[in-house]
Amino acid sequence: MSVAEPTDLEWTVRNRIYEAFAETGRAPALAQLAAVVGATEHRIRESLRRLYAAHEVAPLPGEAGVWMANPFSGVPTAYEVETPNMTCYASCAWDALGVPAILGTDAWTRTRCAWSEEPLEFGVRGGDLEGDGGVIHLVTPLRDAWVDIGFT
Amino acid sequence: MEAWLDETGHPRGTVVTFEHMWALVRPWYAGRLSADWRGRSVREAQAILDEVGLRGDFWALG
Repeated sequence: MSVAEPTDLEWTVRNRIYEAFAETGRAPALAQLAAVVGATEHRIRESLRRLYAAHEVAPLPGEAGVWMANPFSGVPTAYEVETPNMTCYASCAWDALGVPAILGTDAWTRTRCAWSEEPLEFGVRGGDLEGDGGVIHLVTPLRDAWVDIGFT
Repeated sequence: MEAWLDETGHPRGTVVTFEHMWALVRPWYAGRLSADWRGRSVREAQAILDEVGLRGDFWALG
């Protein structure tokens, strides 16, 4: 079944989600979104379906809320990112650097190497990339990234 | 990394340095907090990847 294109309502929902992540580091609840945009929770779930099809926002399983609005994650991950104003979670190493990029601020990530499990820190300080170095291994070819965004 | 791939069963993807990823994420995430954001076309996204030197089948969007 095809999913309808995002309308102005979907873009408003999408922007409120990003605003909440940028300000608090956390995803807004469905009820909050419904109240802010003046829609029902049922319509917000429909918006999340449309935004997922547009590769903008991923809903939690069961459409219980917002899972991801890259680079932000609505659920805890191995990539906790500390900014001058809040702490948030990124979906992956790519997105851990996406947080300072989207916010235009410094941000620091403390995680562990997926291979060695050694502590690993990296981020942006004073606008410059700093950290332990190393490499990022990406598994999923980009054209398939949204087929299973959780795995990606 | 070979041991990690064997252990997890993950397929070999591609490897990028943190420096290269930092070069990508700045244009990749530019404008996404703007109220005017209406998504990005495949062509526009591919142009960003090309611009930072991420080319080839792994990085192909279309």
